[in-house]
Amino acid sequence: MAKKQLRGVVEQGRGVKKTTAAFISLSCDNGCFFAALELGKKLFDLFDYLNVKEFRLIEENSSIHPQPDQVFDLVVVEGSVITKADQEKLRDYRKRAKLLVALGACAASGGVPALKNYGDRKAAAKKVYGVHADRVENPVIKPLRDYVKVDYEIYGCPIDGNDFWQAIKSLKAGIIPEVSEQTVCEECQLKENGCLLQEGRVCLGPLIRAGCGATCPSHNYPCDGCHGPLRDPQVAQFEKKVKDIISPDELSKIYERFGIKAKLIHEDQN
Amino acid sequence: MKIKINHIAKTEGSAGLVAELERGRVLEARLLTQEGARLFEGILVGRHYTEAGEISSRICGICPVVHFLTALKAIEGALGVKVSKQTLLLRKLLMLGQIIQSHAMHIYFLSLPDYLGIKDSRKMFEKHPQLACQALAARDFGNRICAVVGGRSVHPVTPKVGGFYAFPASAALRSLRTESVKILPLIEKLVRWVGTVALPSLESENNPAALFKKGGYAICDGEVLFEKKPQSVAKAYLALKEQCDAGEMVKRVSRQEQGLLVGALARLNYSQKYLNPRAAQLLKDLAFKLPSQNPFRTITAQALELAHCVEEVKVVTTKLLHIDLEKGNVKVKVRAGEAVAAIEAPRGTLYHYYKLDKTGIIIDCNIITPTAQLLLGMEKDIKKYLPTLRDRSEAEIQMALRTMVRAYDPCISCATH
Repeated sequence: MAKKQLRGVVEQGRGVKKTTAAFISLSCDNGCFFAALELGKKLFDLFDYLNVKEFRLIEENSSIHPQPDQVFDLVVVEGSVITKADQEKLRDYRKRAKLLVALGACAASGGVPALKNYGDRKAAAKKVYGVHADRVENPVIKPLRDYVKVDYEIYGCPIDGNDFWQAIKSLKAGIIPEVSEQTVCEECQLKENGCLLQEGRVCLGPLIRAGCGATCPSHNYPCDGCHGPLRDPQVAQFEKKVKDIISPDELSKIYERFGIKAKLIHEDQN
Repeated sequence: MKIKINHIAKTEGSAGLVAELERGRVLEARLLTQEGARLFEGILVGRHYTEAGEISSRICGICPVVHFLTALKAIEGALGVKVSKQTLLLRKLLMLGQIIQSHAMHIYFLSLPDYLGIKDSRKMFEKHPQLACQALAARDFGNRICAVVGGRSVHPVTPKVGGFYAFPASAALRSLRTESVKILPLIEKLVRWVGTVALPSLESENNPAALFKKGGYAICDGEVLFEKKPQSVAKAYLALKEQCDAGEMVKRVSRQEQGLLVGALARLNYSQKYLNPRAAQLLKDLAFKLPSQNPFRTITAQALELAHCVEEVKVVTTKLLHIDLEKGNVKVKVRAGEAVAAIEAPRGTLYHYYKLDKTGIIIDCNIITPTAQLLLGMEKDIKKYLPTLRDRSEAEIQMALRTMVRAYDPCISCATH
């Protein structure tokens, strides 16, 4: 018998119940689940320990035979609340979940769709739908925690596969992982990257939480915050450092990209 | 008989279907998209051109690369920027990775399982372990190409107007080249597997449209071939009409009031003689008669493109290994301008249009995705196919319709954006 099949049988023999899970998507690009699927075989091995009963990207049973009373130990949600159906779905799954995880920048901070919050939302809808703009649902984009209790947030746009895998390993045992207060800078330093800030480029690294592997600065692209701000980012200090290379308006535009501006501007006003 | 499918799983994004059949006549067949409107074009207006690629990439998680690159191409058109040969090669390599990854996912995990009676694609590892692992390996190869050139596979980091922020190391390119050769026998097995599956027949009346270029299998450039007549990307774009129905979040795209057939099948119909050698041989061995208007044969066309693209990786990486990559970027001068560009996304021709003011701010933009172009045609095909299912049970009809929609490889998030 193959090793992993044996493991499953042994677990069942011990009476260990697999953690039940649902992976669901609201309005989004599905990028975070695709990033998770990048783990490839590793992810499918994860399915040995996790009974993912609903994951409509790759299975159809749950939509052909939906189980209204199904409860889950773990529900992982990606995407934004845009339609009423998104909202109802989120609230419904929250009721059915022991733990609910917001997956990715859209779910955790608003993400790219939140860009419309900073401009004229109605104008944006009018641009796309013309006279029919009023019939299209166009709410302010808010993180999932503004709608339901969220037990854990995994940031990133997309999420980092390993970040996800490490978090799930903990969560499947019912343990909420500790949130690191390390910055992206520390990840850059570990990789011995040259510092983009020191090169005179505006990199949000010092304000942003580690866990993404500093992918962007490692490829010569300054961090623009998709992995979310620290609990207590030193914004004033950072803005002093960059004031000669970028205007406040332009810096504000960078903060807007993944919907994290409110956290950074608010901190600054303190 | 009213048919309502609430949610068609195993597709990118969210959509359902309603259809009505009365005495063998189809009164209605309509895809109901459920994806919320993220208003990307509205969001892009007012942003700086340097953000167009990064923002539009987030339209889709399975084809972010093509949005990024098409945005760059259009912006460069608007600014009058001519990129270097090496930038074009690197972008082509990125596109090859995109297509390999996307096709491998769609064929073996989203569509083929339907013909094998598998509702949960994870069961592919149980029922067809060797082939499922091989398909995963093919997908991983595509992702790896995107990560080497783009920095990561979902939402690339390195592409920019004028070139790239960072270049792949020779060792990484060499490794991709070696892998493309080693993986080819495995790809051939995968392609032949698709050839053994009996697929439904349907003669679609939709007109194929795809990029075409003499001398090579067009992906990143070329003119648009429609009804076998070539025209510039700009003309083809202007000939498209976006239909906005009240309350609908997706716009249906038509040309001359008709839906279009875009994607692998359209491309193969036009460019089959430019397939790389092994892919060309596989086409012969599969005895796949072209031109084909059978949308169920999309996976056959995609499988052949998979082989073609893997062979093409060797060609492109070989060229890149002879270039000093560090010198490939060009200077960008900001000015007012407008342009439309097109690249063949895995699912078909993608158009991005931008208008910039003299400071580089986007003052207008429009994005027409392949799936938006497919919708009207798909609904017409469903109307044609439905009567042939008359003698089946309701559950069987539902399953047949789900299978059919999946066959097209629709991307609802893209279509809605």
